[in-house]
Amino acid sequence: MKKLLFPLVIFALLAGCNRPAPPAPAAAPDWPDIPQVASYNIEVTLDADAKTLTGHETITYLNTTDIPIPDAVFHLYLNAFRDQNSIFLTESGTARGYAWDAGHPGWIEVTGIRLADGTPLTLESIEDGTLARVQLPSPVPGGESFSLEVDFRAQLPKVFARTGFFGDDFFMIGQWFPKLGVWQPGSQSAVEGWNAYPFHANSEFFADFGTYDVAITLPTGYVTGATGLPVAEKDNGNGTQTVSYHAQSVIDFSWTASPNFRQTARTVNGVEVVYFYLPEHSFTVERALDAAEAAVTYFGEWYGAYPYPRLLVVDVPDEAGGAGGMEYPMLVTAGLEDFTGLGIMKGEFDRMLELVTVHEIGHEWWYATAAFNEAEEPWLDEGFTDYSTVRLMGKVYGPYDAVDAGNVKLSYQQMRRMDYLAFPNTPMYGKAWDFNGLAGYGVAAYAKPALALTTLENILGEETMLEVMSTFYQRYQFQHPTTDDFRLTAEEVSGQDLDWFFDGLVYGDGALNYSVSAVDEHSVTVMRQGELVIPTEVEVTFSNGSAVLEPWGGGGGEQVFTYPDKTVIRAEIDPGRKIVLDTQWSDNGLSRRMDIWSWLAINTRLFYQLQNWMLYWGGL
Amino acid sequence: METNDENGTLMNADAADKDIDQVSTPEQPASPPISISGAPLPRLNGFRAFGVGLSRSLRYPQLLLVSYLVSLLSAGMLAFVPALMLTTPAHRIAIREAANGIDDWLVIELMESPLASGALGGPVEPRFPDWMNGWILAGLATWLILPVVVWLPASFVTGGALLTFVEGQKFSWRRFLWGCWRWFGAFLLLNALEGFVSQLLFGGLLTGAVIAGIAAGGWLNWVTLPLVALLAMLWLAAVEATRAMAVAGGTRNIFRAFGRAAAAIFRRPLQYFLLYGLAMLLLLLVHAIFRLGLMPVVPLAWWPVVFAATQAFILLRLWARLARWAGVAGIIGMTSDG
Repeated sequence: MKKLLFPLVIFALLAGCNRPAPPAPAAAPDWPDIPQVASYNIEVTLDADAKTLTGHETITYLNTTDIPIPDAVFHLYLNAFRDQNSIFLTESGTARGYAWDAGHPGWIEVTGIRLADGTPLTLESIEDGTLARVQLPSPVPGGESFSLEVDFRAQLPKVFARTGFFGDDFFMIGQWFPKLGVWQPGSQSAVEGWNAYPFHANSEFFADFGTYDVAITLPTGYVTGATGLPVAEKDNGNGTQTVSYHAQSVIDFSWTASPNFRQTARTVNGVEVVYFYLPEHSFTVERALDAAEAAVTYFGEWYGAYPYPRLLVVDVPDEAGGAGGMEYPMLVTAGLEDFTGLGIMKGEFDRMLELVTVHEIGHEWWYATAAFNEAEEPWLDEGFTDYSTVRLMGKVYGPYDAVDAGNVKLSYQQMRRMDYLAFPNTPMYGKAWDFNGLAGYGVAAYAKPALALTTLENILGEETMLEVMSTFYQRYQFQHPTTDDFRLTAEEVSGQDLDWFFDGLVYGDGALNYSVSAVDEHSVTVMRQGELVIPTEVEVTFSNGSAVLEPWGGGGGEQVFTYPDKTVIRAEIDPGRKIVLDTQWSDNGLSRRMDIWSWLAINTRLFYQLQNWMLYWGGL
Repeated sequence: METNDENGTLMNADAADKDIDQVSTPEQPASPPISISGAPLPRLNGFRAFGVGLSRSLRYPQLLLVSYLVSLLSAGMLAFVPALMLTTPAHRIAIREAANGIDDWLVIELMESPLASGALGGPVEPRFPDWMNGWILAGLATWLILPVVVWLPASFVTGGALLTFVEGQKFSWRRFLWGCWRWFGAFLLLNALEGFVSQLLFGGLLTGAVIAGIAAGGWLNWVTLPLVALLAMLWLAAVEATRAMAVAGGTRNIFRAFGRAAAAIFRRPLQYFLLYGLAMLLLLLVHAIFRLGLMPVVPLAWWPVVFAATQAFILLRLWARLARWAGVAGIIGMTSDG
């Protein structure tokens, strides 16, 4: 027995090394020094068996405008999952391929609300119950703040649309507490009052910055991770523990809990990057940390340093992908589901884990720090993040950064081009719910902006583009910038009129195809199809080996370049393929002579493929 | 060449072959080409059957030559029209990139061309570029006639090849062509049935396996996929044994031959399992060398090198198939199954 015990003890010690250590006392980290507008002090208890939350929060809201605040409007996001009549479920019964489970709905109920002095208030539900309003006894003038005491209880749904539980003991808890909208003065583009919309299927989030102090009580043995830093951990002696977190200058607070989490960490440019993973996904550790390190390093270099002391990357169980691929301040979820069950996904030919990790961390610069309004202008957050992802993936993982599996090779940029080409007549600008289903939203918010910004970079040049992006980020971080702010910055920094980008691509729905329609002995005819116009250039090569690069505005539909003294052999529009939105690159170049060598090369392979298929058809 | 016989005794392969060789001539078409019933023939285990298959396939290079010529001619016929259609895009500069390997951007563009062209305000109906319309038509036509092009020559050659293996005599073009002609119709029918059943059976089985994997969890794939592969191997063995049984038994009734083949496999599963297991391993080896070792280092635009490499691969696969056929013919010839 002793022989058995010794290795068991060693094993237990080693296993214990891999378990999260109790939180160290916070060493007074540097939090961004900005006004804390919406601050929350929350005590919440998780009933892991019933999958419920019971909580109390103290909300303090600072009126930073000069408009008095007469009421308070809350988001009660979990009510989107109460029944099929919610706006969310009416618009889409599924999210990211995961369906809502009627047997495990989610909801939130405010059981009490009062002012800090105990004055009771009455909450009224708005629309489908994902919003609620409370009238304040007297308007709160500019520069002053008000506090509310709110009691609530919530039922977590089975993981769906980013939040909920999976199995017996995995919890990813987002959009879980009564949360105020954003009080804003009126402007050309905004209505005065609370900026808060019901929870739509396509819509994400918008909130003010503030301080969060959250104490989570849950069964002992659970490992927790959250927005912010862990500041205290207490065993309550009754089978529960209370873990406390603190965060400043953040727009939301989410947390995760499971007894199965293992953790590892790496310090990158002074930021503690922590990876919570499940034992069955231990093969993802190095890959996820490498991707996270690359993201924190490059995004920091390109736009500005990551502003928080910690970044948590959370792995999610197989079949709980509804919780994966989401961003919160200081916490992102990733995960890699091996749907084959054969361990195939362990191969590094597929970079989906890296892609998701990099993308979600990219949000930390745009969603979490710039803090765009994702409901009203979703293209800004998702688009900037996806452009950053395309950029980083190509730089770190090479030309086939999404899939590199033998003959099947795919770059992330081309993945986005595939999405875009299916719906090229989609404007980028619009409210999240304006777009036609998830596919239309995907093109408007992700694919087209990623390609449009890549095209902008290709035309402005890398150095100018990075200057545009970093200036914009530095200038507007923590300020909820808009499309107009970006236009102002981009045109100012580049010194160019960027109508083609903003009017043509952001607000416009035109598409374009440039092609060389004819190459004659002394002339080249180029043409544009579609409403979109992007300035480009045409490379004309002559028989004596010389070449000329002709600038072409792209307007007018068709243009003929003539060369009476030279013999043209070929011409190519946009030879550097700067315009990644061109619907067809394949017709951009034309030669007077057929390329016989290449033709033979293709036919050799075609011939072989036919032989190969005939052998399969004929019995191997 | 020396091999071990059933009792572990070294013997000359040609001599071993002679043991199972039977003689028949075109002048005796009504009687079975080999005499089998009641003959006290030695058993041929799976390992030896595989060895015999390999040696016999090498003994008749004419069969490999004919199979290769059929492959060349059939593919040539199929490739002719698409190759002509490619002369127009061969004026596009992008053809150089395509020559180096079809890149992701080109595949995506071609796939989504109808959607994208519809968005350009041009034609009302989304459509492919003109050259591609032609190519698609040619491709569809090729796809439609592919079974005919595959099955006609294959059905023709199989009878002659199997007769050669079953008889084990000096190669005779006359005898070969007689065998080709005699079983052409029967094998054409069998190939059509094989194609139909294979698609139906394995389409259904694979779909079922995938659905089961999704429903019950990926772990189930570890059970279902090897099972499907085993069934596919069994099905291939049954069809190929049917052909060999038909030739060995001198019958053109493929249903009777199938029944006898199935019974033979049922009686001697290990022999067939070993033969087909080894044959599949050989095929896998050939694929691995070609796909993992050779092609990744060959620059695709260097078409003469690509041509040499791909044709070597095709030749090796044809040889592997002939070896398998010869192995089955060997098993049937050495037993009373025929």
